[in-house]
Amino acid sequence: MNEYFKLVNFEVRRFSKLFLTLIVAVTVVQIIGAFMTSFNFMERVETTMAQKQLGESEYVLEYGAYNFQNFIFSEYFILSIVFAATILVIYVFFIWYRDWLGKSSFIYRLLMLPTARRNIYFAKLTAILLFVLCLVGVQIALIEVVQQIIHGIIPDQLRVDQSKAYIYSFDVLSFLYPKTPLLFILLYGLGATVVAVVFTAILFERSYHLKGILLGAIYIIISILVIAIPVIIQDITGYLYLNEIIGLTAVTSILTLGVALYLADYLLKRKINV
Amino acid sequence: MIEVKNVYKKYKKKQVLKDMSFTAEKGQITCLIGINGAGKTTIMKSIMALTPFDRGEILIDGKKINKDAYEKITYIPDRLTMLPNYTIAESFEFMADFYKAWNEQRATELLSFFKLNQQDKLSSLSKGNAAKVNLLLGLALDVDYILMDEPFSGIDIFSREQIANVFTSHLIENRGVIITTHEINDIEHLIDKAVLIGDGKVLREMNVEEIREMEGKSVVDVMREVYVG
Amino acid sequence: MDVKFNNRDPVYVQVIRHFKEQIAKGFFAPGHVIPSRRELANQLKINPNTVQRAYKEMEEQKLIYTEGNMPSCITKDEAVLKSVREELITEAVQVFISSIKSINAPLPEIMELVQKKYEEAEQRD
Repeated sequence: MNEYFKLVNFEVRRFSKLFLTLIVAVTVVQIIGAFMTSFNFMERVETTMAQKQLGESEYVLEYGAYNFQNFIFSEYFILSIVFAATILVIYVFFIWYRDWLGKSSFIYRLLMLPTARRNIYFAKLTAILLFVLCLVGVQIALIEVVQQIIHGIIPDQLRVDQSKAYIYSFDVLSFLYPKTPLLFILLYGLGATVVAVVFTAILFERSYHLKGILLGAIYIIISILVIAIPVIIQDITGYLYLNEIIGLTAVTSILTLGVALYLADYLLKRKINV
Repeated sequence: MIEVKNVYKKYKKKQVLKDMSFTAEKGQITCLIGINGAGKTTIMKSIMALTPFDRGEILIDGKKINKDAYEKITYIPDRLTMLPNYTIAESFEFMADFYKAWNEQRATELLSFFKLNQQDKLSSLSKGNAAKVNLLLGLALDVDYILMDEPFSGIDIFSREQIANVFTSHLIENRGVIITTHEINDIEHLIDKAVLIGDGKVLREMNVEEIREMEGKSVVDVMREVYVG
Repeated sequence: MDVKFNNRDPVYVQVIRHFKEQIAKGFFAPGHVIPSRRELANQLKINPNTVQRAYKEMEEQKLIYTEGNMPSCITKDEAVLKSVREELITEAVQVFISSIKSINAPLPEIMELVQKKYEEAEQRD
């Protein structure tokens, strides 16, 4: 257990510089986005009002007020989220491959640590989840900041004030911040399962090389199918309620996660190659 | 004692190890000799469970390798096993953090023995100094067995002398050492036992003093017999 | 201490021989403390187990002795020291004779030449 925490600490510190850079980049882009969308809006409002001789309330009636979607659907927000997600997806692979690559082969050291090898796997998995949760946390804070900026630039009359609950029901955000704690656990649990499956597929490749790529791909497809069994049943029979689908998906995910961990443990112990 | 018993391994359609068997005693220096591709590195990795093998058995003091064995046996490969952006000092911290067997005092001693600077980044080291750090990280562990892969290859003559000095010092005393080389000259007088390897199997296993005494032959003489025929 | 070892004779035999030479030359006086096993291995760049074997052998031949936990010393036994000297001389003479015999040179002629060459060598030193 102790070794596991040490390894988590190690994995987090190892990526921290790049991760901080990522957070700073996302923050800067979204703050710029907040300014840009607000200023653009104000500019449009002022030109239109001048041209058509409208008052503020008439403008709002005619063209609509600024609401938070203006920001959420701007390229600033979308690109920053996509960018952060891409970096993390790449890192899901790189967190393993970096240990094999380069003239220094750190994987030798990791595998020779006097601790169960599955701890290496758990530590990497935990690190990825921590990064995701950290980004999600930063995003919550950023939404606050962005709202303050918008409030500062756009006068009350030109703006619709939306409740937090309403804001978090938008597509992207509702996905990042599920409404209930249970949904949160289910969604992020599913996410963790997917990462675990990818990790195990990587270990297939590291253990069996070319053949391993094929094995890994087959393994990923089977895992996805298993997780999706309830959805597939629903598609064919139309028999299940939404709650049942969610419940069954939780079961198939846990099963898939269990298999991923078991296979990873086996591969790390018996088949891994440096 | 490290016992390698009838180990077979196939890799990419090539039989890399064919019925490989030998032993390495504690308190002795055992040298695996063979040309590149003979299977020396593969057998070391197999001992450390860094690569799987198909058949056979490898025992360390009578037991199969497990996680606790890494406090008893260590492997010094021909490349650095630390993050390149670490300094030597940070590498020490990492080792101290994970290994009970880490001996900080010995590490410091080795640092001055090799004339290395703690604040140097690993990625900035010369080849010779990188090899020394690598060796240091292994030797500073209080383990019973040390496996070294070609510690002399590709480094300058003075680094080589320094490294050779390690073998006659207290740093090695009472431990079991397995060392691989394709060039026996540097260490002919340092080793207890030579295991000649070719084509994935042991061609000859011998005590070098015995072979000199009984047959009046040098290791190279025997190698000539075995490899040239 | 710099010794050149050959690769075909057992290294421990060569170590013993080296000690005998040092004793015969008088570099190792009777009772002279000899290096520890590890020190010697380090000086000669040879395996400590080999030194151990050489020391054991020398102990058996009474060339060296160890009292309790003290470091080993060169023997003070005059008879042994004398025999070491004799052994080395006899050995060298034997080698000389066997090579000279193959040329079939007569003894008086050889003796004369030996004396001459020996004196020349002494003068050079």
